[in-house]
Amino acid sequence: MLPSAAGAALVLLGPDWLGGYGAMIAWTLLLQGTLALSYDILGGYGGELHLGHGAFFGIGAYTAALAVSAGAPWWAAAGAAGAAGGAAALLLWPFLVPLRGVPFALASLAVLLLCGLFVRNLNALTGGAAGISISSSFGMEGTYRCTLVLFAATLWMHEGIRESAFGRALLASAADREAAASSGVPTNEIRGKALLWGTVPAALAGGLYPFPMAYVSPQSAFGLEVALTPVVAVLLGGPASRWGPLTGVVLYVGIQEWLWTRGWEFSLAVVGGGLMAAGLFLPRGLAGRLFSSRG
Amino acid sequence: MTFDPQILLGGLFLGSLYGTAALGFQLLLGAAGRVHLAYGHLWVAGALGLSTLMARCDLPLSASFAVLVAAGGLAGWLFHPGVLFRGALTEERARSFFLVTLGAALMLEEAGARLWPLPGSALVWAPPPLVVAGVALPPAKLALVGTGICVAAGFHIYLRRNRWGRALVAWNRGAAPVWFVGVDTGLLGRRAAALGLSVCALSSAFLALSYTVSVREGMAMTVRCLVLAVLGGTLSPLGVLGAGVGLGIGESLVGHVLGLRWGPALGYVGLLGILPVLARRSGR
Repeated sequence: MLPSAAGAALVLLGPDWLGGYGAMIAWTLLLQGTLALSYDILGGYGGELHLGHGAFFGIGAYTAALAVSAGAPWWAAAGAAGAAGGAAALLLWPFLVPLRGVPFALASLAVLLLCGLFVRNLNALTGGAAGISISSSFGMEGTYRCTLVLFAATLWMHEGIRESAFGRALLASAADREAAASSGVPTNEIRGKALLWGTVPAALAGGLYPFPMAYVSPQSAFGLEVALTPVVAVLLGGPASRWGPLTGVVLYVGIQEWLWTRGWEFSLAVVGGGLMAAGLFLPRGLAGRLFSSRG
Repeated sequence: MTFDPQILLGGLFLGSLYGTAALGFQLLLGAAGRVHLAYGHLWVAGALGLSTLMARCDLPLSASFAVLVAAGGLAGWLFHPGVLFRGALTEERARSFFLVTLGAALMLEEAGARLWPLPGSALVWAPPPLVVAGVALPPAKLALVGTGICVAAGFHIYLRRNRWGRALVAWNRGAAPVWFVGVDTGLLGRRAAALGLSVCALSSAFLALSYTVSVREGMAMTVRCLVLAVLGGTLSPLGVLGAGVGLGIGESLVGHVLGLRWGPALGYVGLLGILPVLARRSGR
């Protein structure tokens, strides 16, 4: 009830009422919420540590920035971002889908590092370390509303997967791949689809990212602190749960803003501390601990 | 394009550095059975620590080397075994181990970026290079190659002749037999971690003497070490050193053809290529 009311309030009030800073925080929560929910498809239901999930956000951000620089309208740029993310997932399917556990996490991390290396070094196309500045009339208000729609769609998809035969097959594959395969679950196909379904919202979120920022750089698109934020949020909140990813996002963004307003910019240290805390004290996440008895 | 033998030699030196670093990494990998994601960051921190010791504390080179190697060994002896063996025992702990080491890597990167905001190097020991047939051979890098060979040979003997080395190999193949014969696994972990991080510190000291160091290199180095441990074979020191030399020469050639900044791409592409093949081979 309370989350629904909070969501309705966000829709009705909009960025005008929230003011500049408030709108930015609300937009950050929606963007990170979208990334965390999309991460949770393979990272939560699929049981993998998908450290390269942020690479698809970066691919989306750069695709949109390049499209806008080439004169494309915002909607075409955002659409191209989603398509580029999907195409990248299909390309990586044979490299990532056969892997499980730590090898999967490392391979997906290698994807992220490789993408960062490419955008830093392809100066003529990506502007190198300096990044790409864009000029678009599609400002904060439009981006906010689009991100809200994307967030709602991702939340709906996350919930839908949870209740579907696909979601149950994914959970079975995560629990015991061999047993699931013996029961007739096409584990590789299921995991590949989960990779694809999680990728497209992340790339679309990336496609919306450059508009209010008017800028995208290797650090802001492929930096470790950016890419690992949804991972930490989901691990903190609790993977494969209804409220876990969103609890983690609110907690994580809240802590980061609290530090920011006090002049401390330990963003990477906060991510690192969050990962260590999740590993040591919250193996099932905060939501897993709080709501375990309530389902 | 003309071929310059100096490129091959540069690759040999770089590869010896990677190989020596990976020798320490493979001991930790062999002991824990898990990838220590903060290893590359510890390696970089060691190099920057050496430059600080020499520049700010005015310690001579030999004393700085000794302090760094002792600090690495102590860190391994005191802090790592709990993490390593907690991670090694059960599958649930593997996730915890992974998160703890990744978190430590990120915290080290942030701390390193604040302590050493600019790439740096000690470069206080730069005697004139030997010139053989028109090819320059810097003494620090020759010493690095010699050290790499000595450490790899030493580990090779340790893992085959020493009781603790053989126990480590047995532990890596399966924990139960080691428990049954009464090996103190806590002490085994301490020894492996202390030895591994001492070698990490030794390698990082050569890094500081021979190359420019940036804190952002940590994760790339961890990935490289993993590629080398996989290519060379876990707890196979000569194989790892050989793989290191191969990767160094490969990176040097890639850097020569595409530009220096593309060098690390070889490690990432190698990892993406190797892991699915290994997964298919192991049937998992």
